[in-house]
Amino acid sequence: MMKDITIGQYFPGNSVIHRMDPRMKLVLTFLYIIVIFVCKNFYSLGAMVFALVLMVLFSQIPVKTILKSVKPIFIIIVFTAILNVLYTTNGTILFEWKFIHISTGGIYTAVFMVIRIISLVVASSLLTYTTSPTLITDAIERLLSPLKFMRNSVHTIAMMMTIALRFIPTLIEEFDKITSAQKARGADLETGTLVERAKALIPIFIPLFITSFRRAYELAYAMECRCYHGGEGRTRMKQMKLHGFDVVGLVFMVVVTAGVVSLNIVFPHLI
Amino acid sequence: MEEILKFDNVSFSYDEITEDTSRTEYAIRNVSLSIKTGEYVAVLGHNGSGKSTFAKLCNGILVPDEGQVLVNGLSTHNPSDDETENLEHIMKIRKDVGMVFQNPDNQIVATIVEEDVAFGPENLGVDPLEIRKRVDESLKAVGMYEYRGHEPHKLSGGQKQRVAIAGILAMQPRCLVLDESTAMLDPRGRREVMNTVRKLHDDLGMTVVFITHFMDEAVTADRVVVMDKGHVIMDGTPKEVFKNAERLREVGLDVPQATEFSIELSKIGLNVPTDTLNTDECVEALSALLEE
Repeated sequence: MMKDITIGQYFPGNSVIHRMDPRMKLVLTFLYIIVIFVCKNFYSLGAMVFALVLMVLFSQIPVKTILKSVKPIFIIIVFTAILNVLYTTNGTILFEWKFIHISTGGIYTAVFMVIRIISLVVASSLLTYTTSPTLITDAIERLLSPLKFMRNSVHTIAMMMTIALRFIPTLIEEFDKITSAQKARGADLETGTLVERAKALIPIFIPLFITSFRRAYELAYAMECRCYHGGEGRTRMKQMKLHGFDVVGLVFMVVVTAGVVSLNIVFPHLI
Repeated sequence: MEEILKFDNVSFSYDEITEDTSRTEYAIRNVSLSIKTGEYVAVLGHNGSGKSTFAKLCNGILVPDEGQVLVNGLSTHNPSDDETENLEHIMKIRKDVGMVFQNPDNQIVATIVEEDVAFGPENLGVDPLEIRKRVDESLKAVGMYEYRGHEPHKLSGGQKQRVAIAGILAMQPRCLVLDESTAMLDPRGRREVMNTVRKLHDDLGMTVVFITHFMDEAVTADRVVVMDKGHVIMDGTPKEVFKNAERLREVGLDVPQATEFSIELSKIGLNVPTDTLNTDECVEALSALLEE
């Protein structure tokens, strides 16, 4: 069950979005996230959703997979919706009971917030679906590399991120294995108070830490054997080059941003 | 033939070496050995025989306390006090002697197969187009080309180990050292890795040093080196080495089943050769005996 975790889930493909420069994708995703918070009304938000749908279509990622990325935050979405319905009281009152007031304004705000959160999540997962984690960390490294004075630490941080992402599934597997081993020795993980259950995790985490250290040593040896010596003098197999479609993506995003800003001015109200 | 790897009276200890050498516990003691280009050498030994230390000495991860290890004529000792010079020197050695370890999970760095294979040449500063070419060639050589876009944790043990081998091949080494690379695999994975290594040796003429404690894996080698307590105790062709079943058992090793079978048969007075290495040879010997 824990293997289904979707951190940095990458879907190999050959779509335009896949082939876009990871740096551009990273920048555009950030831009998208910022712009989505700039949206003030349903018209501008509609433009953003439209843009997102276009991007999803171009990425050729199945809609089902995209929806799966929203599943983990379902509770947050529901919670946000309820809070917004309860706390916004403008517009016509539809329902009133003791302290609960449900108004049209509240429902509109709730819908607005829900669409906003979903677009946010879908946009960022579109980035991780179409870009391998190594490329994302690579892109971060390259985007930050003008910071000359901390160049080496930028490389180190990027390498650390790559290794961390690489070892998440391995450590989850290890965790499952140790859990089974401790259960076989009679460890009780499911019953008892919260404190007792937390304590029961200690015999799982200690072996996990010890093996992690051993892994770290072995990985360091293996990396040294493959001539790793930090970021200096390193080349990359995957060169990052701006293509025509990267420029198209940028122009598209700029147009969408401009559209959102003008729609905000034209329609000053939420709806 | 050219010598790719030469151990010149090498001793190594994990402890501090004191004046009184009789009290030092050596992991490797006075080992002299030379491996020629294109050889397929199996290094056998029980736990604690020093065979893993031997592997680590091959490419300068460990540096001998006494004697020296020469890779392609270069000593693994630091040549000077200058750090950059030392780095260049050790990189030259590690580029020539590629090492594959036991646990495939702990030697794969990247999250995508082809990116991991590219890791070595990237460190060497190879041109991007050339890296692409080498990555494709290496993955094809180990039969993992179709998996180039996969995530390593979704592969089987044998496949991961083949990816690790491809990662070394992409550095274009002259010698491949496998430090018990099959020990953690299931029989199928072990066969996959063995066949891959065999193919690299036969097709590309790769020098292979195969460290193992499985006798059956040593049978196909050109040469078998047996280690015990830090010493080399036997060195010869598989036939020569496995004839000494008694001596091998003394140091905690077995002989291949076929060899043991024929040795037992000859003990009860049957006229069979005692140097059969595999089932086929054994069958041949027996049918010859039956025809008589």
